[in-house]
Amino acid sequence: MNRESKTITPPSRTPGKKTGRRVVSGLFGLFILLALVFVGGDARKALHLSLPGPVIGLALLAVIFLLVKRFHTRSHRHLNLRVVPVSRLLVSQMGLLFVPVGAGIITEGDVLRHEWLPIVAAVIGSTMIGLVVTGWLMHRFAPKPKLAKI
Amino acid sequence: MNLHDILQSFLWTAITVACYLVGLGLRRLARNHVLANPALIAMILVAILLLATHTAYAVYFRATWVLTFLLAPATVALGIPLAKNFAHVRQSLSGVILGLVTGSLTSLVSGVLLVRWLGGNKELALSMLPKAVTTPIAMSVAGQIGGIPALTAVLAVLGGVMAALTFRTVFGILRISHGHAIGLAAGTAGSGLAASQAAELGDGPAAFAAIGIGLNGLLTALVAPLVATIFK
Repeated sequence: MNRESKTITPPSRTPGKKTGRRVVSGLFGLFILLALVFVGGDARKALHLSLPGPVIGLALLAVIFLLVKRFHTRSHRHLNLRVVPVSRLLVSQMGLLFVPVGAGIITEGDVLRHEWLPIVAAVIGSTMIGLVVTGWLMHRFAPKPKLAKI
Repeated sequence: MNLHDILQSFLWTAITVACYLVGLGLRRLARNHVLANPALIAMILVAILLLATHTAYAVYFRATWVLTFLLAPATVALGIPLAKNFAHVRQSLSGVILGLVTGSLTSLVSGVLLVRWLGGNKELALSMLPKAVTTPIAMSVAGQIGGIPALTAVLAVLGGVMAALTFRTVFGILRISHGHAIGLAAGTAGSGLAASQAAELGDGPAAFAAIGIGLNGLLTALVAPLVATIFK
């Protein structure tokens, strides 16, 4: 989880830019992400969607980013400077953020003791099925790129 | 909020960050091996500390609200890697849609069926359902459909580790050498953990892994409530 940052290209940074200004841009970026969280939550309530609010926010951010990249270069530069760095930080260290929820496993000791067999079997089985089905169908139906080294 | 609460909040948040830093250190020592997952290590350390100090989980959870609060904007932030790599989807639209939708659905349904078939209860089945997607989305979906978010978080990390450890061997045996297919499958079935391994195969696999994480997150959040009502 912590290395998802690899898949994001680093933003263009002006060399020698002051840390203070970076922090301010970062906070502004975080403010935009939070605004999208609340917009997502409101949209969920207003439209009676079953999607969680932050997931609606995710989709909105992706759509905004694609639209702005296509039609409004200046806003795209603003997004790259403000939202992208803070997004990279949050995504790359996301593991830290779900530690408090994950530690709640201590209240589920009974489930783990009594149901370890279905847990182990379903995690292994359904992960393998998902992996093989997705990989094989994409392999079969998508145009071939260069061969990957395995 | 009184002084005691503020101190407690500060203390437990600092302890959680420290446990995570220990996890990051251990991962470096293990040369980035997938089993050395900092989040999983931190969860175990925090759990041991809570049990050792006889602290109620509810107290700890309330004290670390800042971290949990940031989970929502971090989920929104996943939109950036999705958008940045979205251009790749257009080149191989049919393959991506077919692979992602079928793979995601078979993985959802097989997880629920395996749990029920082996005698697991309904709560466990609902916690298993969204485990293939990236942990924050998996947890919020689990909470929504009546599963246990903490259990889903652990299942999601275990599934990710499983996929990351095995995908090269599996695709080697099946003679699947299509880099984009391997990336998409790793991101769809193993979220961030497998995606970071797939990213080592090159830029194409990395981009498709990011697409797999983002689109499977959206798809699972959409269909999980439907699947949950069918199997209730």
